[in-house]
Amino acid sequence: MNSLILQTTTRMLMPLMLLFSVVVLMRGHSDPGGGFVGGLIVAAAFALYGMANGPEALKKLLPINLQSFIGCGLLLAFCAGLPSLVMGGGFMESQWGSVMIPGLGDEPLHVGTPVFFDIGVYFVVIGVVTLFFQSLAER
Amino acid sequence: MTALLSLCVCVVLAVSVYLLLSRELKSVAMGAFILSHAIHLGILTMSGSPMLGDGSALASPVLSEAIESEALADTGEVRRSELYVDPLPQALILTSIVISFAITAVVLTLLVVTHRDAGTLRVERLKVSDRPEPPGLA
Amino acid sequence: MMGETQIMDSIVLMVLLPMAAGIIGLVTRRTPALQRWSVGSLLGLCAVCGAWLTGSLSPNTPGFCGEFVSFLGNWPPPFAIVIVLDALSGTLMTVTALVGVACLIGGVGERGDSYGLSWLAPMLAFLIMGVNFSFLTGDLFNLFVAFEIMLMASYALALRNATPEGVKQAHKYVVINLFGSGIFVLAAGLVYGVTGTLNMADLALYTDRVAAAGDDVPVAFGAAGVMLLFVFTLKAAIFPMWFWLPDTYHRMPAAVGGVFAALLSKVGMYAILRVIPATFGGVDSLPLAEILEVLAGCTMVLGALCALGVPTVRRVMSFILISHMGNALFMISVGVRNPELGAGAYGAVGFLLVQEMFVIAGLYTVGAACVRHAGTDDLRMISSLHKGMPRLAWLAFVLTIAGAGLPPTAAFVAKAWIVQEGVRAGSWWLLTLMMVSAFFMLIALVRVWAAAFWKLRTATPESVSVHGGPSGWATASVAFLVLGVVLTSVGANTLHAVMVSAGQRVAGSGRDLRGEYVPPVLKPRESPDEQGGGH
Repeated sequence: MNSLILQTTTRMLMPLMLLFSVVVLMRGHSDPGGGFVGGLIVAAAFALYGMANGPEALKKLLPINLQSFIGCGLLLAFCAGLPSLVMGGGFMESQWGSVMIPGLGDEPLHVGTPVFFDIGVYFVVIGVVTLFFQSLAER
Repeated sequence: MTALLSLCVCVVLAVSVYLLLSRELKSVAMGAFILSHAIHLGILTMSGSPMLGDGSALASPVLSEAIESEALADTGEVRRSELYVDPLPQALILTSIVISFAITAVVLTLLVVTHRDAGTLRVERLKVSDRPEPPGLA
Repeated sequence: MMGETQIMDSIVLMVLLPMAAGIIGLVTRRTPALQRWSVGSLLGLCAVCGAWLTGSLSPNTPGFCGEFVSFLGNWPPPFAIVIVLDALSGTLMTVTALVGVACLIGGVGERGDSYGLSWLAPMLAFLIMGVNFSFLTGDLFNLFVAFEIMLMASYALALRNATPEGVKQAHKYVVINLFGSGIFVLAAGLVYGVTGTLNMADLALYTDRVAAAGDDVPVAFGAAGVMLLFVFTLKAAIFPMWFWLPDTYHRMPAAVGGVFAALLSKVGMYAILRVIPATFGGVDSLPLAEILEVLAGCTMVLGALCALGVPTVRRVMSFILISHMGNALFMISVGVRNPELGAGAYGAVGFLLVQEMFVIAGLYTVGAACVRHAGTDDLRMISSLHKGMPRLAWLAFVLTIAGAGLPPTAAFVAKAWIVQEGVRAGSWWLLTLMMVSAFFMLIALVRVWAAAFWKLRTATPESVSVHGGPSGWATASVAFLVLGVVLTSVGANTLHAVMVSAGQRVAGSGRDLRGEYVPPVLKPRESPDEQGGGH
């Protein structure tokens, strides 16, 4: 497809979508959102780019092996379940800690294993859906 | 409301079964996708959600006493089932949606590959003969 | 010495190890040797772990009722996904991992493009993860999730390196399973709507609870039972729903046909065994025993008759598998009709499933080796294969004996146990049908072996060209499976004892042994940090 409107809109929309996906990912623990939805938004952004500029351009944009990317996401999600196993709990039991990050205000930031699990899911969904789009579009 | 939803499920299910029985693989795939929608709607209908207003709602299993007393403070009375929808059926549906999403991808890819190989999606033209396989397949 | 709780939490390893194997297999796809070794060793570790866990189910521990229960994420019982390991599921998972290793060995010698081959190990690991999770889960909805993991991996395995013919057949497999999954999730929703729980042990108590309250069981509950029975019989290839199996399995890529035949139908039968009698046996409006008896009788006899009639090795094996499934269903129907005989009958089902997994995987792999060696496994065209592959011929002979249920093998013990329970229950009709089907199966299997391996080459020698010897890896894979057959036969006594206790567990699930579902000993630990989520 070679449409000036789509290409221009994509150029403006894509950064917004990528940013929004991170917001959705991060608020996911206690509000609607999470890794799955965030990953879908990223994949939608890539699909939009692929539609506007062609599958080859998408391939140039993502010079990584998406299959290994999926594997890495799975690995991250899997590893997020392990700390509790080591600490004598059940697999996937949430472990929470709080970190003070300078420049983010006085409230400590709660960080826990579910966040990493969600990030893993995020990567897997990005990889799977983008790969799906890529291989069907390239045919 | 429940009766209306049940009717909807019936209609969607009938459509999907009709499509599943057709002799074109594209329609079969469509039938399969619609089937999953019918089923998700069905679960929502059967789960006894208080939003459906038949008064026979199940109490939400994750409603802890803390939330209950919070509700008491907010509204002045405990109205468990009317305030909270049981989230479990929705979790079931969400899981099932994600799974059917993946299967949709598989089925669509299968359709594309079949069309590329055979040039058609009509079942009768795709008939597999029972002659011995040519050597070297396995 | 590990404490009870630690053992209980480590049962999740039966799912985690295959999952880790699958992930590592994905990441190491570029280096086949590393991939195979790491996946293979993790699956082997899974088998060892399964054997250890099953072995540590000592019935003498006080307050212990023959199972390990673990709550995933240590959430309290009503919300947690509960996983349960008892003698039956533990043994089945061990054998599953071993069959997976055998498939991996056979896959090394497979031909095809390297892209397709590199998917075998990870997808096999994910398949085993799904199978193990279905054996392990104590929750109806998670049984569905486990089925889906298993099916998704099986689609990938079936389509990997698929020929155009294979792709066409895959449509049937995918659509049938999609329909089955849809009905399954609908039934799970219905069960939840009626009972408010999806925990299998809790569900088993539902009819008692309703009876104690003096109510009638809702019709919808019986309907859900029928739907679940439909789904599980579809997976286990029981009589009216078997039509898809012979068509799809015999065109699978060589290495995976055996693993499909060995694992997927067993999961369906295990689900019937776990869910149907305990949960729906007490529903008066549902003539469960009659339904199961008719299905079992038809499956046994018609499966064996079809095995006599079909021309290719792997189709024969499909029908042999179906007939075996009929035998297992026969025992379940005995248990449903006479709950007091349930323990023995369900133990017999477990014994049959465990020993048959090795046998049927081996027989399928032999069929695939015939295709590779002679270009076809059509019995009208192949003969005297023992000249080309003498070792495989003898291994196939052992498997034939085991498949037919002849004396030195564990299959004979299984048959004898079934007959014993059948006589005890006095179901003479089904017993007769079972004997007849066993006779037919014997003829069918011996015919296959004689025609393919023994018969001297007579007519149409030109039609078959010999494509070199069998792959050493295929022979090694079959040898591994035969070793499993031999071990189950030698250790039949031990396996029998394990299965007797397994049968008691299945027959008493949720009822006399456990009373209430969560025994006091098994309550999850208090979490020091109060869930930490709502910040």
